[in-house]
Amino acid sequence: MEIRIQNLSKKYKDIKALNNINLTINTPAMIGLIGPNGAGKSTLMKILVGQLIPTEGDVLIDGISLSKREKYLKERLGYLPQDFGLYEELRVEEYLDYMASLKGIKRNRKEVIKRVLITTNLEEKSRIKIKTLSGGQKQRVGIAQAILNSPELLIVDEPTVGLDPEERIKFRNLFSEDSIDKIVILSTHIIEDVESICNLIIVINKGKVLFIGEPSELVKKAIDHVGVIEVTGNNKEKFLERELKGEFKITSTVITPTGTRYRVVSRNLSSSFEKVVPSLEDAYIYCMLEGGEDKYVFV
Amino acid sequence: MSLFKNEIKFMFKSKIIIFLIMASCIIMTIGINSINMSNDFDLFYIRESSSTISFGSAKFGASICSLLFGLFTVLTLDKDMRKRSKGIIESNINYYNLMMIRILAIVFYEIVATLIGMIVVIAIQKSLYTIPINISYYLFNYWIVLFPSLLFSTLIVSGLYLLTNSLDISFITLGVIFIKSLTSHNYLLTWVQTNIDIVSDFVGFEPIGHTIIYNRILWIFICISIFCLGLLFKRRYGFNLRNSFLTNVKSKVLVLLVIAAILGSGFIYIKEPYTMELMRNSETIIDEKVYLNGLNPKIIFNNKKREMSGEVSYSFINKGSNLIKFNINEGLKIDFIKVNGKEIEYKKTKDESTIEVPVPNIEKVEITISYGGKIKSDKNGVGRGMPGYISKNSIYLLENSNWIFRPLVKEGDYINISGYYSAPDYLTMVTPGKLIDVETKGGTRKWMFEYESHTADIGAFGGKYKKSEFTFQNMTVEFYYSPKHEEYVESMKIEEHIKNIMKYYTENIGEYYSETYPLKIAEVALYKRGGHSSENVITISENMLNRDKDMYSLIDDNGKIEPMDISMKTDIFVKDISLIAHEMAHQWWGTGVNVVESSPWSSEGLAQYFSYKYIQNEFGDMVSNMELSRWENRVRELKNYYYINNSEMLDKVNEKYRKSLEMEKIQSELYYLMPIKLLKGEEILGEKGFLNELEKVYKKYLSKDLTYEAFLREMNLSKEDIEIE
Repeated sequence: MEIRIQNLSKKYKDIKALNNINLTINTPAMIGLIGPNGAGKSTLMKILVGQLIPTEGDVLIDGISLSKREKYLKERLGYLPQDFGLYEELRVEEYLDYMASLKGIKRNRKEVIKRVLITTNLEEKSRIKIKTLSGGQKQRVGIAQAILNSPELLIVDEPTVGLDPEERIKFRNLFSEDSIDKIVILSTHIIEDVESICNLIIVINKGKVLFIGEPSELVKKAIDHVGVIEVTGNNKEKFLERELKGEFKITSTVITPTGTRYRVVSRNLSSSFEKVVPSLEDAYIYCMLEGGEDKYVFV
Repeated sequence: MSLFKNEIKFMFKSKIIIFLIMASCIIMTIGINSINMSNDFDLFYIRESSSTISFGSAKFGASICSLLFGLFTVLTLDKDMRKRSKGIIESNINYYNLMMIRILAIVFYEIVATLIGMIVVIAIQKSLYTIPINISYYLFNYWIVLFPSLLFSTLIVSGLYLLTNSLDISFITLGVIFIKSLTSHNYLLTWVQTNIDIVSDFVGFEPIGHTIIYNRILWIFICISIFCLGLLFKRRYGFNLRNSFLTNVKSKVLVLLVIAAILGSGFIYIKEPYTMELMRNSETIIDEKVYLNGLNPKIIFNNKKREMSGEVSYSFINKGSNLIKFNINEGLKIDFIKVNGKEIEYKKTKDESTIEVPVPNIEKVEITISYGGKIKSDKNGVGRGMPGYISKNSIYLLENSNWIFRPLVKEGDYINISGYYSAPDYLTMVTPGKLIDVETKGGTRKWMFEYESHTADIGAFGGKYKKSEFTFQNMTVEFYYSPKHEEYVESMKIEEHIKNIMKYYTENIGEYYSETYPLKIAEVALYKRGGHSSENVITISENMLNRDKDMYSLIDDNGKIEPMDISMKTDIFVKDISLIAHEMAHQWWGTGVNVVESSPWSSEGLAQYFSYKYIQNEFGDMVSNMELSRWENRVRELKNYYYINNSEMLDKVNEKYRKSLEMEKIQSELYYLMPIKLLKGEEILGEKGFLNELEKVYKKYLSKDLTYEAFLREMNLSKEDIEIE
């Protein structure tokens, strides 16, 4: 599958949620879509699943406009929105059975449901009513419905929220394994998730794509822009004032016996900082700092 | 199809639908007795049959279940919004296709609820009531009355939901449309429960069946319009109402469907073929320069087609007019009009309720009108107060349906009326005046009659009657009633009561006005409530001859009731007898003496007074006082009415409402105030003295006009004497 996003913009009255986005994604891909709240991630995903239409530009699915390929897309799509609800009065297997019928799964429906129940570790809960499940278990049901039809395009918005660390790892692996023959777009705030499984990162802010590339490339961009410093009690206030002025962004604070140790990201790291190897999180913050200037730094 | 099956399965699992079907069955079962639960006095203790049981349960079911299914529909459509599951669902399937499938699944359960409800009620009728089943009533009432109301409710609320995207607004709007249906007198608007109170046991649903079907056709179009409008405004791609419309309007098929459905609804509403504004539009200004002195109707009824055709000749004495107006019935199309043998051009008024026929300014004018077609009934009277209809098994044509075009001229002292009604031979016709001959030929029977009258009020009544004939003194009474109601007539000694009424009136008013014309009393369907009297023909609605067997215990072998046994049954029976007595009194006051109406004075007051006197004489003061208190209450109610007390405010209300208030006031004066005034006169003169004076008035004014002033003068009373506080 090929998804080509061409000059895509979406306006809500006077607000531009997406601003002239151009992207091409081909199978296989495991994409991490990251950005702050209100960056335009959900809008982009809703356009990709056909729930919104762009104000300008187009999305081509295998070379044909999405507006003409809605059915084609839906047959190949698995989607889990960030804020979703389930039919809580149903049992888990009943719900999945209903969703399977909506997805047009007619053959071996029971086997398909059994497979996703095992995959999402819900086998034991299959006869339980959804309303009695915990938040994390409901999240798993949401993921289960998204993968029922073995989609060619899986779009998941904050899928690991509410899951315990063990489950998170399991799902990360699941998405990763799945991406062998499909496109998985994972929108998240948890950089750790992206770091561990995504082979492509899209950083988006204020409706613009700030970066597209491999995680290592993003990290590379941040080299020489991440440093640490230990500040003693008397100088602390002055140091924090410098952050407020926008000189740098503190990414971690550790209290030590001699003062406070800060890790910072800066566009122009002064010599007073001890340079360190950036993490993906540092790189993301650096990307945000650059993007805040309203210019395409990395794309 | 698999999605449809899946939705059905899915809804079934939600359990609400099981509850809804069970609730519907319970509601329909309760509805079996809904006729007795209503406040409709005429229908209390009506004999239960397939028609009453199936109609009562279907109508009651329609009234409540349409709201329940409407609520279920809107909750189903709004479910994904409430549960925040729309995002997931929408990513799998076109959401509006799914909505359609869900609506179809609801309709499927409406069919199931109707079917199960019908089977349950049939089982109850068969096992508990042990009444034979007439399946045609069930099929009609459940599938033409009940099921469409559920379907319409679902379609309307679906359309409203798509339009407003709001559960609350769509359900409240459905509620408003629902209330409009319950309160409207216009049968076209009563989509929930129809305009009918009961299906006639005497003639079946045929006289009103086509109006119900027409209502259903109209509402199919209206529902499609609302639903398609909803689809045109359905919210898509996160757009607001306007932008959604601009997106949806690109579908040419949908736009065409909306236009076709709206135009279709309008066309069906405007071109409605069965009714007209009969009472409101009729012109009443009389041309004082022209007298009617002869009328010759030759009418052929085609009951299978519900049509009539014929020629009516009118003889006039013209004293200087160039034009004669006729009130007509819009359903009857004129073939030609001849004036003194020559075909002429005539003019129709704008509202098509009156024609103007130019006539030469000579003394003798003969007008012959040839016309035919289907009679139109009054728009607001369908099912309850129909002045005229022709159906396969019955003919009911009152003069006020204008089935004989009514000339707006003065009526001569005597009008010679003769003619014939030709009808299928399985019907018995009740003709006015004297039946002079009957000819049967090729499946039709011609009923020839003649009489002299001081009015041109002429009716035609036909049905599958049993005729009972008895004599009293020098007069004959012909009593026509349905063979289905023979047991009640015999058990409740209705004929005895008729004889007793005759005896009381001849002893206290005077001899019956004619030795030539028999008094004819005919049962008619409940589609026109109460009774009617014109010339020597009285009609009484079937409820008076078709009550429950429980009523039999009320009377003793002589037809008397225990005076102390004042119960609902007594009240109903006395009211029935009182109504028969009222109509019979019109033979003395109305047909015998022409009482010139000038509110509160009219023949109604005298008929009320004499029916009261009969009841008092027959059943005692305790029973008759119930009727008196009813009159007093009605007068009191009216006197306390704001707009009646503040007549200057009447100008500020809309014309339709004002007219209905004025009509109510006049009716109250004629039917309730006047008899109370007469009772006051009786108090002044003493009962014997008052009745003696009335007897003298009757003798003196027989076949003459009696005005209020003349009456007071003859009775030695003044208006002030009988003034009521």
